[in-house]
Amino acid sequence: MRIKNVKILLACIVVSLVLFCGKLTVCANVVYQNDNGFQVYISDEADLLTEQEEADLQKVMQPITEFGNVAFKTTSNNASSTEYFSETYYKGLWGRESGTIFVIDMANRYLYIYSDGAVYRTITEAYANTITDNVYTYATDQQYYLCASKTFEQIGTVLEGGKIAQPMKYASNAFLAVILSFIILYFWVKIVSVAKKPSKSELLLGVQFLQSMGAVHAQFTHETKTYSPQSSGSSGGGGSSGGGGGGGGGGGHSF
Amino acid sequence: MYQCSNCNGNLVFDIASQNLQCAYCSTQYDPYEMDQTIHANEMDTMDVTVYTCSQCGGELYTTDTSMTSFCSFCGTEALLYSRASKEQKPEYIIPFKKTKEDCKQLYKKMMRMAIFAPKELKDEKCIDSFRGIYMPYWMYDVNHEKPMDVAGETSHRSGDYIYTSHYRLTADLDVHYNGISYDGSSSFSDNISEKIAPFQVAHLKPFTPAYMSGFYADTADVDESVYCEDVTRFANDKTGEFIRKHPDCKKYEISQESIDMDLGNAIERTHRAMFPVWFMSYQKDGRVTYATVNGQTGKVVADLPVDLGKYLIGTFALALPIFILLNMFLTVTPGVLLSVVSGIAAFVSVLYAIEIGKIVKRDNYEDDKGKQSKIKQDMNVEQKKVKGATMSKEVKTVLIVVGATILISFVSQFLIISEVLVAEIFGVSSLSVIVCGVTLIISIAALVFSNISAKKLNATIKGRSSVFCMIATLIALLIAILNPVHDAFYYIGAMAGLAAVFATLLDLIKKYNVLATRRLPQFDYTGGDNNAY
Repeated sequence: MRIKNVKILLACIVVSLVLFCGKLTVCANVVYQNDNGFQVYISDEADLLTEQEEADLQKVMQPITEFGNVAFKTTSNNASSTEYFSETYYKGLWGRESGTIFVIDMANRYLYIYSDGAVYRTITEAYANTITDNVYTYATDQQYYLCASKTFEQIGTVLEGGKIAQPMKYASNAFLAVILSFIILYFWVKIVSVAKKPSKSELLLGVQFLQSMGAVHAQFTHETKTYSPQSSGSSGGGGSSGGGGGGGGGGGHSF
Repeated sequence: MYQCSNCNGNLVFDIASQNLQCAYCSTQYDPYEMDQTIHANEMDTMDVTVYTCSQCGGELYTTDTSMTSFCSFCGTEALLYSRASKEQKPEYIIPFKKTKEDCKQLYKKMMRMAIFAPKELKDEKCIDSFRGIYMPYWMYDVNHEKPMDVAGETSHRSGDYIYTSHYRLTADLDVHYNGISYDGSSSFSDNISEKIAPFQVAHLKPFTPAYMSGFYADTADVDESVYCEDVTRFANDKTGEFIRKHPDCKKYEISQESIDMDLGNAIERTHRAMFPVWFMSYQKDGRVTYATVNGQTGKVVADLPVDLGKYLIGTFALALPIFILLNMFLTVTPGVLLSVVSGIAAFVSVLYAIEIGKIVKRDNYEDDKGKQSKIKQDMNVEQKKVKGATMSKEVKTVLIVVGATILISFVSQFLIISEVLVAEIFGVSSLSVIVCGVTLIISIAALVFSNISAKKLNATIKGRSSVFCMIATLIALLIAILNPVHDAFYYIGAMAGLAAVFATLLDLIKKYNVLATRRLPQFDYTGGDNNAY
C-alpha cells in the first residue's frame, strides 16, 4: 500500500515537472503579451531565421494580438502531417483560445496556417489557403523571413477588414463561372425545347371510349407459400462519431 | 374545285363558319350540300392535283387547282410539278378549328420562351408560311367485349413465410375504344405526331372533299399494320388499369401479363381519317426545322435550334452572378481546381456522347416507326439490317445492365488498387490522382462511344470534339501524379482544361442544333442526295 502511494506521488512529481518544463519552454518563446493577455509566440526550431529577423517578425506579428494569440513555428522533426502538427501545437499553447499559428514544416516541406476561436471566423480555410498560395514561392526560394512576414502582414490585413490579392481565385472562378453558366443554359434550352409527350390518360381523352364490367366472381384455385425470413431486428446503431475537433481549421501549401 | 353558284368564284373552307365560302361574294355553302350537288357519285376515290417537290420528292395534294409555290417538307422554293390524280377517300375528317391567325399567335406565344432561337424563326415572313395540311391518320377501334378471365392473387405474411392465395377472376367485360389514332404518313415524323396528339375524335365528321378546299393533304403511305402493336398495348394497358381499379378487383394483385393474355389483340376495325395540322418548315445550312400546330386543339410542337451568338451572350450574362456567388463561397486550392476541371471535362464528354447518340437515333429514324416501315418497303432493306437497327428493348436493357456492372466493378477495383499503388509508387496525395484517373476513363469511354455512334451516320456529322476533354483529363492526371510545387502548373493545366471544355461545349451546341433540326427529307420519288447535309 505504501509502495503504491509512493509510486503515485512520484508520478505526480514527474507530470508536474514535465508540465512545468513545458510551460517554461512556452514562456521562453513568448516574446510579447498585450493588455488583453494575447501573446506573440515564436519558435524557430528549424533555425530558419536570424535573431534580427525574429525581432523584426515580432513587430510584424504584434498588431494581430488585437484579435488573438499569434504564433510562428518552424520544425524539421515532424513525422505526422503538417495539419495535425499545427493544430496540436496550437492547442498545446493556447487550447481553444482565439488565435492563429503559421508553421513552416521543413520535414514535409509544407506551410500551414491554423486558426481557432474568433480569429478562425475571419481567417477561414479559404483565406489560409489563399495566403499560403501567395507566399509559398518565398519559402521555395529559401526566403523564410519574407515568407513569414508576408504571411502575418496578410493575416493582419484580413483581420483589420482589408483585402488581399487573390488573382488566381478570381481567374479560376471566372472561368468556372463561364463553364457552369454554359452548362446550366444548355440544360435550360433542353428543357424548354422538348415538347412533352401526352400521357396515356391524356391520349385517352382524345378517344371515344366505354368501360364497364359486371360483378366479379373470384374462384379460389390454390395457395402457395414462400420462405421469406424477416430481417432480424434493428441493425447495430451507428455509434457517435469522435468528438469533433470543432472550432478551428486552416489551409496550407507545399513549397 | 368548288365554284360559287352566284359568281363562279372559288370556294374555300372557312374555318370560322365551318362552311365553304366564296372568296369574292362571301356566299356560304354547307360542305355536304356541295358534295351532293357536285360529287353526287359515291366513289371511293376523288380527283386531286398532286404537287411533287423537285428537290426532295415530297408530295402534297389538294382538291384546289391553284399553284403552290414552296415545299412544306424541305422548305425550299423549288419548282413543284403538278399532275392530276385520284386519291382514295378517307372515311372521316376533323376540319380545321384553329385559323391561321390563331396558329400564328400560338406559335408566337411559344417562341417568347425560346430566347435563343434564331431570329429567322420569329420573322413574320417565316411565320406567315404556316400552311394548313390535312395529315392522314389511321384510326383503330378496339373491342374488349367478352367474358374476362384473369389470374389474381392476394398475399399475407405469417412468420417467415408469405402465403399467396391464387384466384381466377371472371366477369363480363364491355370495353370499347374508338379512334385510337396514329399518323399514316411517312413524311410526318412520329416524334412530331405523337407530341401534337391528341386529336378529339368526338368531333370527327364524315369525309367530304369540300373540307379540303383551300388546304393541302399529305399522302397516306404507311400500312395500317405498322401501329397494331402500339394500339393493342395502349388498349390493354388502359383496360388493365380499369380492371385493377374496379371495386371488386382492388384487393387482388393482377399482373398486366395475365390481362394481355386474356385480352389479346382485339382491334376490330381500322379507318382512314384526315386530321388538321398547321405546318411550317424552315431550311438553313442543309437542315430543315419544322413547326407544327394542332389544327383542332392549338397545341404547338416546334424544333427549336439555338443561335450560337445569342447563346454566348446569355452565357456571359449568367456567368456574372455565378462568378459573384463563387467568390463569396468558393476558394479552391490549385490541386482541387484541377480535379474539379477534370470532373467537368468528363461530365461534358458524357453529355456530348449522349447528344451524338440521340442524333444517330433521330437521323436513322429509329424513333419513327412510320418512316422505318416506308424505308423497309421502298428500299427493300435486308432483314438482318432491320433486326440490327431495331434491337429489342430487352436485349438493350441486358446490355446496359451488363455494361454498367462491368464498369462499376472496374472502377471499384481501380479505386482500391490505385488508392494503395499511387501513394506507394508516386508518394503523392492519391485523391487528386484517383479523381483525374477516373475522369480520364470516363472521358475515353465517352469519346469511343461518340465515335462509334457517329460512324452509324452516313453524313458529315463527327463526334470528335470530346477528344479535347479527354486530353484535358489526361493532362490533369499527369499533373496530379507529378504533383509539382509551383501552382503555375496546376493553373495552366486547369485553364487548358477549361478551354478544352469550352471548345467541346461549343460543339455540343452545334450538335444540339443538329438534333433540333432534321435531315433534308428525301422521299425517294425522284433522285436527290440522301445524305444531304
